[in-house]
Amino acid sequence: MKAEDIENYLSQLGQELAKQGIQEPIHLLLIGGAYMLLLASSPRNTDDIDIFWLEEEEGLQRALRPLQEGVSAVAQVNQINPDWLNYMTQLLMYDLVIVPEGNLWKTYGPLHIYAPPQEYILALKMFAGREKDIEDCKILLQQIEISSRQQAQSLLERYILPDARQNNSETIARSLDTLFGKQPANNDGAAS
Amino acid sequence: MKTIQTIARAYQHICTGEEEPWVALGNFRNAWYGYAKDDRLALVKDPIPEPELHTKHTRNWGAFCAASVEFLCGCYSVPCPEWVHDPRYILTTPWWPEYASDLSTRRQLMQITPAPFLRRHIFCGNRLYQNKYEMSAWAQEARARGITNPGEIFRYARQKEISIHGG
Repeated sequence: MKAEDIENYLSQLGQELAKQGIQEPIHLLLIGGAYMLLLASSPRNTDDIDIFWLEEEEGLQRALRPLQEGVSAVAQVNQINPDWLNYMTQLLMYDLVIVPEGNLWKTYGPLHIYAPPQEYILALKMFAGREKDIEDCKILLQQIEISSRQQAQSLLERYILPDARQNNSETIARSLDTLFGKQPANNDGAAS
Repeated sequence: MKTIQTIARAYQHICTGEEEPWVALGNFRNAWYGYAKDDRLALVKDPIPEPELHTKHTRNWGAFCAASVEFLCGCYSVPCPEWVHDPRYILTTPWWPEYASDLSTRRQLMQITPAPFLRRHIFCGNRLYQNKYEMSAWAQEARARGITNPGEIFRYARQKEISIHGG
C-alpha cells in the first residue's frame, strides 16, 4: 500500500459506513506503517493500516460490526487483504501502553482519523523493537528533538506503562542500544 | 440417567458459580470426546443462556464458549450453530493469559491461537482442546500399523493431533 492507497481505502470505508447509516463518529488513531508513510514521510510501503480504537467500550461494541462489514466491502471491491485495517497492535499492546487522543487528521464521513504525536510512535516502536521498528525509529529521530538515550527513556516512561517496561526491559534496552549506543550500567526499561 | 453437559449447561454453571469455568468446560469436553461423541451437535446447538448479571467474567466466558463451539465444530465437521456468530461474543477488551505480560509471548500466542478464538480476541494458545482420549486411540492405531518404537508411536499420534488441532 502506498500513501494514496491508504487515503483512498479510508475514504471508501467512510462511504461504506455512511451507506450503512452510521452517523455517530467512529474515532481511530493512526499508527504503524501507515502513520510512517503519511505523517513521517517514510519511503517504505505498508501491508495494512494499523489503528488503535479511541472508542469507549460501549461505542466500540456499537462500531465493531459496521466497521468490520465496511472493511470487508472495501477489501472485496479493491481485491485487497480483508485485514487491511488492522487493530491487532492494539490488542497486542492492550494494558501495556497509554493511548493518547491525538489530533484530528482527516474525516471521511463518520470515520474520524486521529494522529498521535511522532514521539508517541517513536515510543511504541522502541517498545516493539523489531528490525523494521528500529528502522522507523531512525527515520523519526531525524524529525523530532530526541537526541539522547535519556530523552528516549523519558518518552518511554510517558507512554509505556511501568509494568510493561519492566516485563519488556530486554527489548527496550536492545532498542536503545541500537539507536543511542550501549550504556555500561544498564537499568533501561525498569519501571521507575 | 446421566445429565449431558452441553455447552449451554456449562456456561450456565459458570455464570451461577456452580462450577469453576475449567471444571464446567472440562465436563463439556468429556461429553464431546467421550460419552456423547455420537451426537455432538446436540451438545452445542442451543445458544448459551443470558446471564442474570453481565460482568467481565460472564462476557469473557460467553465469548470463550462461542469460540470453543466454532473451533470444535470446525475440527470435527459438525455443522456450526448460528448463535456463535453473534457479535456480542466478540470481546472489546482482549483476553490474555496472566503470564502473557511481554510482547514476545503475546506475539507467539497471536500466531498459534486458533482463528475462532482470535476473532473473539481471546489469546489462549492452541492446546486447550487437546485430547487425551484421541492421543491414546492414535497410539493404538500406530501399534496396529506395526509401529513399535515408543518415539515413533508418539510422533505418529502427534502428527494426527497436529492435523486436527494445529501445532
